[in-house]
Amino acid sequence: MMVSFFLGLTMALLTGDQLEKFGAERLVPTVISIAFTRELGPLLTGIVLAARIGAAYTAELGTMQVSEEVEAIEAMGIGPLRFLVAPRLVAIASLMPCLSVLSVVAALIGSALISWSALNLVPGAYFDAVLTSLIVSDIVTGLFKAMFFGLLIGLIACYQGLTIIGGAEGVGKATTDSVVISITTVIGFDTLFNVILTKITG
Amino acid sequence: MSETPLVHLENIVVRLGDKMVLDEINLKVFTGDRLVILGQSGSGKSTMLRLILGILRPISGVVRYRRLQVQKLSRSKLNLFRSRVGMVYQDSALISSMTVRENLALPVEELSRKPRKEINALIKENLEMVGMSGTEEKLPSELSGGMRKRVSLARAMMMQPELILFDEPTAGLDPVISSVIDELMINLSGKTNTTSIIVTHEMDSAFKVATRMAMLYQGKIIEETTPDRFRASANPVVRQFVTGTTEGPITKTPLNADSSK
Repeated sequence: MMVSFFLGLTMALLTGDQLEKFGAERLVPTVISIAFTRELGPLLTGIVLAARIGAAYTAELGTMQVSEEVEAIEAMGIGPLRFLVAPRLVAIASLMPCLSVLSVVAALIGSALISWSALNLVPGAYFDAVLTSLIVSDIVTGLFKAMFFGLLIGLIACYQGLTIIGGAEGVGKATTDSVVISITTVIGFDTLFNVILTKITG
Repeated sequence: MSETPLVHLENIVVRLGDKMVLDEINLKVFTGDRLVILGQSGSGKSTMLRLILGILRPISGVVRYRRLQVQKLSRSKLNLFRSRVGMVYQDSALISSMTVRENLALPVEELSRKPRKEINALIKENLEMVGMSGTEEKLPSELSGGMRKRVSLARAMMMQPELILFDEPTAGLDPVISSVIDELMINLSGKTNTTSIIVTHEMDSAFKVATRMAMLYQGKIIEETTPDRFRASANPVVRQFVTGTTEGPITKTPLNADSSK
């Protein structure tokens, strides 16, 4: 939320500064709300969650793998995928859209503050503009992306954790790999998603 | 013996990389046996336990549990089979984020529809059996190595298995706690007629608990007999292993670490 808040501030400042030259500073709420709802909200949340929850998943499952806990679960007749992976995927895929919404709200608050102080746009007018600019497809796209990114991060993190080779060193390496691969994959899929969506919607 | 073995390994071959871990192994384990498998570190003892559980698959050969062929079981039947087998790991392998109670309840909650009251009674009974009453709310990190082993044994007993596999149950424990674990293993088979396969390289513990002993060396079982006959074996490898002398045929170059891990 803090990342989004500060990025909202910065984006409002920079876009406002440029748009002011054309007398179009009143477009700041539109730009910020669409950018964050469709794109930056899910993306930033994905990056933060890959570093926070993805890393935790990999480290936790990796440690369990190294200390034979995963094998012990398997030896009891409990499927590790059902017991260890599925709940984590459900959790992160459900959490991502919620956090993404909070991230967008934080960014809008940040940009509203700048718009108010630097662009003389009162918060009431700012949020009216936001509500007018956003359409349902923007919100659905953002939520869908967030959920999909959550699944991707969860899958990568669990896979990295359960396929660890080596001891503590392996856990450290897998955790780093998990974060790097998750962030790269999320950004890659986001680009792919945007290309496809642009093609579809013309 | 003409009865059907509980576990039967037939012509098992396991190769990991260039290393032949198990080479045409044949072994029968009968109900009520406490079979101790001895061998150097990395000789394939733990691999045998993982083969029995179906965690590892052999290149060739058949692993039978009663009349079931373990490798051919579907995923659901394999899980059902595994629920009848307990496993005690060298490092206990208790789920570190769960309390003792949760660790013990896990297999029963996941694999049966027993009511909570019955599960609690089973937890109490099994913890009492291993002398660990009162530790229900503790985390594994709050227990000593010997205590974790005992909790691990209690967990293995929760599904009332017909067979328990012990992977180095007394490794790293002091002699007193080792004896406690040994006595638990003996009492267990006495009270419940549970069959045990125990992998170890600790001779004192092996002779104390075994009803039969097998020695694994360079991928083959070179001796399989009663503890008395094992002690008096004429096989030079067995003799060297029993006496623990440095002079003898056993290679001084350590083999690779246990290959199944």
